[in-house]
Amino acid sequence: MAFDESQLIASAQQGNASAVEQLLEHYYDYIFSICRKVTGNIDDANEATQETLISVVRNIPSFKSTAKFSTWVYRIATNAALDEIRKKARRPTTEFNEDTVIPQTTKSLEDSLIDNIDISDALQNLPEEFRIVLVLRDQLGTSYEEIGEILGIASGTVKSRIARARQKMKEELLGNKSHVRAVKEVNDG
Amino acid sequence: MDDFELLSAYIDGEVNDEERARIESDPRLMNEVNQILSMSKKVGEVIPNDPETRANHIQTALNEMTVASSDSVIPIRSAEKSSFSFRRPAWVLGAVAAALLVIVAVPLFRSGDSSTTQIASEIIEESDGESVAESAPLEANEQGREDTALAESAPFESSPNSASIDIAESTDDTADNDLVAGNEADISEKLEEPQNEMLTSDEPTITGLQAETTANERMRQGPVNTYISDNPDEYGSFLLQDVRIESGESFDSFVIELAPTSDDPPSMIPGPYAIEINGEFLVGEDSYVLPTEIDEYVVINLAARGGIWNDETGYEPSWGSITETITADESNLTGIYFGDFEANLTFVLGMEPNSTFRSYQTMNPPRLIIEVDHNS
Repeated sequence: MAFDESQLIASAQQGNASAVEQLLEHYYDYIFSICRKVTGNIDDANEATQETLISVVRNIPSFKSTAKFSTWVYRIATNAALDEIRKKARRPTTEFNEDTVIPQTTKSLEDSLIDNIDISDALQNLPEEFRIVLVLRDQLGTSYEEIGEILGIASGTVKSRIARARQKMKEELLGNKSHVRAVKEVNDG
Repeated sequence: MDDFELLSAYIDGEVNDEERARIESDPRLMNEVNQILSMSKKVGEVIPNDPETRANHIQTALNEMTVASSDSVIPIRSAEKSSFSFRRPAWVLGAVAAALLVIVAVPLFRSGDSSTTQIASEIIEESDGESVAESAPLEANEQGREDTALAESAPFESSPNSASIDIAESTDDTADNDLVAGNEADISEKLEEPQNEMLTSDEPTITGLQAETTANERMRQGPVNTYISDNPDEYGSFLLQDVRIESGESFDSFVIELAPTSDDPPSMIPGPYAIEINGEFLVGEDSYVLPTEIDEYVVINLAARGGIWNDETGYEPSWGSITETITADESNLTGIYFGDFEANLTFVLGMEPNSTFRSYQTMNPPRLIIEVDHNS
């Protein structure tokens, strides 16, 4: 059956549980990914994801179709993830963790760029405001304007934050790479 | 705009034609673009959660729903389990559809020889639809939750004095709405709440409607409600329409469904009721011996008129004594209907000893619902 979002939203607003469930199923992975990447750990991500879903269910009757449903959902998810970070005061460390890059490798820059661990670390080492815009953009393909709506900032700010986030990511990855090389050189004598 | 910001915007399709041409004509910039794209692709990968957690998250969220759904995730009335059911004639539905129901203030009632006096009545104004009314009692217990702007609570406005409901849209669909699947999760949570609240005022409350049966205890103070009306006929504007047991995963529901009469102005939805643990009951002039398998029960008295719907003759009053037994295949509940005496319907609901239960009323359709937890 085709996913007719507007119809599902209308049904959900009338209290149709099946419609609500389909919407939750459709958005779940995106919501969880946002929460996972923004919070940086699985426990907080699960908490934030649950809060997001509950908030969607509770508030869907009051959702106004003047905004995109996805924007609305992602805003809730983003706020839930941020709340979780603040609630638990578990801000990601900015210290370099050797353990996560100790695997000695001679990967190229591009290898390093697409390494899961490196990417995750680099993402977590970004300032919060950079991390969020990057996740919303790269994971969800959200436009600058929509990201601006979600975060309550100007699209020009979104644009510059995304650029700076990517630049810092790249620097972070290159820095890690340099560190790995240095470790390897030391180990190789 | 510096080069990196330009490249970033290029990746996101946020550059103009001139900027695009400049980037695409420069191999160095395109190499940079490819690196950023590799990184962005990885950042953009969706991270799946484990299926079990995923399912739990979604189910927990669905349990937050308080509106009824005909295709709820957890089918409560999955089959025709009631051995006793009234048929509803079309004219009654018409009367329901046409009615503008007004709930009036709960008058004073005199308690019996026990000390508790409380009317179990919710006074709720419903703004726009069907089954939200029935969620109000559950919602009333949500006060401890953090989010005060709950969407489902918005339509409700409780008042101890008066309220109205327009049920012009009432149809078979609304009348046949099953109980809320999502409420299943709520009940366990709510039943864990302290039951020691003493009801002392006429202010509608649901917390006080939760009770726990205790063997050899005739009456529990506080959560148990009882009344004796000085003039029960005054509240006889509703006719018994259907009685059934609906089995659910966490609790079973004893549903007493009513319909307003066409010639009597509706005055109370569905009407005052009283529930007494292991209380006394009469069937007209006769005594009645409960089936031996019923060790513990509650007596339910509801201000409404009895009756039986018959296809050939329509409504047949059942003044006085009749006894009908209501059971369901997957439930340990046994309901016994004793008919109507002076517009006072009497039921006995047999349940497992020490069962935990609660009751609430819905407006559309008018129902009294007793929910009995499986895990008491």
